[in-house]
Amino acid sequence: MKTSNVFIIILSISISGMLFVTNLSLKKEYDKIDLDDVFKNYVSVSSEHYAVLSISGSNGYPIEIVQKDTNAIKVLRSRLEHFKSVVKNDTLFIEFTGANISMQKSFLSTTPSGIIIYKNNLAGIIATNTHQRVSGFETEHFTLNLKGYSHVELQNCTVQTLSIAMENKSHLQFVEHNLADSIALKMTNTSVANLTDVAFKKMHPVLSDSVTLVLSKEVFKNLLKN
Amino acid sequence: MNYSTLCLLIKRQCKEHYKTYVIGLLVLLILLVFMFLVVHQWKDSFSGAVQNGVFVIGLFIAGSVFSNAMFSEFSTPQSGMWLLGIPAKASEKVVSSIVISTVFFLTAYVIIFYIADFFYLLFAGTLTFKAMLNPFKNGFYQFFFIYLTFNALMLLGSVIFNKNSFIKMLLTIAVLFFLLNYLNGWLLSFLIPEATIVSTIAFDSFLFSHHGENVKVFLPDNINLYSALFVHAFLPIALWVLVWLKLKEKEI
Repeated sequence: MKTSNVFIIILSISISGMLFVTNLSLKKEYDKIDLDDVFKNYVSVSSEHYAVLSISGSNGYPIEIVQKDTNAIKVLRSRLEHFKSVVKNDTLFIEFTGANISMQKSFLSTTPSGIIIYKNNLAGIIATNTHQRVSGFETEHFTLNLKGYSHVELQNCTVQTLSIAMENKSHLQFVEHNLADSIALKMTNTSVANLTDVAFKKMHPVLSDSVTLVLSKEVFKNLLKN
Repeated sequence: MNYSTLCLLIKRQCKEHYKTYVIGLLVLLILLVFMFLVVHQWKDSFSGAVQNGVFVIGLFIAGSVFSNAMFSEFSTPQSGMWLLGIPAKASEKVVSSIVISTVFFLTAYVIIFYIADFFYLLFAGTLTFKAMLNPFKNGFYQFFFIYLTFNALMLLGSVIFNKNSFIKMLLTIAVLFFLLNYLNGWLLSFLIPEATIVSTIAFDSFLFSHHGENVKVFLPDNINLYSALFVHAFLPIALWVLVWLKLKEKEI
């Protein structure tokens, strides 16, 4: 038999052997998974104490931020390599890189959350080019700073003073029932704010450039009263 | 292996084919610009990392054609005999071909790609240093290692097959890829019969479905390191050795 043919046989055996070893290892990893665990696809990441979240990166995977008694950060296992975090002063800086998708696709996204953040209290969020789903926050003061192509969905939040600063092509959307005593809304460039699902007592809008406001009839009347 | 012979072989290859290489680089530039224009024109359909996509498609299209051309002399008996008759060892011929089709090609490809990328970003009005493709971001550089294996397979094809080696080798690669995936899927199903396996990536991970939810399983870090070494280093080197053995045994 030719040397090259012997070599092909040895190479084929090596590839098959490596395939068997890696699959055996994958089986061991599979056996470790608790199938009843809701977060079986996620890896917990530790962090120091923080009050403000600053997230930048891509909008390919939505980021879920929920108010809960426990503080936790969970990252989708397949996106762990794309996650970097550091705490400076009282701010947690998260860089969540990846491919960007169009804003239209971002709205309709059914992709599982790339990061899930549970926090008992949060003073504010700074988002740059990322897609956040913020829900359940009940707090006195809350600040939202949206830049680039960032997109924030606020759901079932009750805030006394809500300060919002939007620039570039950022998009804010209130979903379901949101309550705020006072909203300070500053919008520049071509940012878009959908205020149809928020009840407020006072609003101080500072609008410039070509911004877009989406209002319901009730919100429009409420805004005229201010 | 003689270093000066190696240099002479590389010089010979470049001198004999420099016209083809210059035209090839221009064609590559036009191909990349064309692909960028397509993704720009239909940007709603091509969301995501379009630069990465164009880079990979261009790399594998151009790389396959270029690697296959390294031993194109075997397409006719006369030129094949002439190539075998060159007073140099088979190992020197193979190493010179590997150097040209990997180091030289990748360098030229990266330069041409960035020229096309520059014009694309200029045209799209988003030209900044940050907007240009960073091959070291998000592990994208792994495609360079995959290219090495692909290069080794294309070189092997150009030595094994005399006629229509390009098409024959692409078909062989497709069949080998299918067989590897089938074997991998079958092996995982055999080891984990209770799992509903959705997809597998050999030597890396698999995805299974549990009550409608897809769960991905990855190799642990230590095994992953050995697996990466096997796929990214051992496999291309072993295939290059096979090219050398096949060239040594080559008869016309």
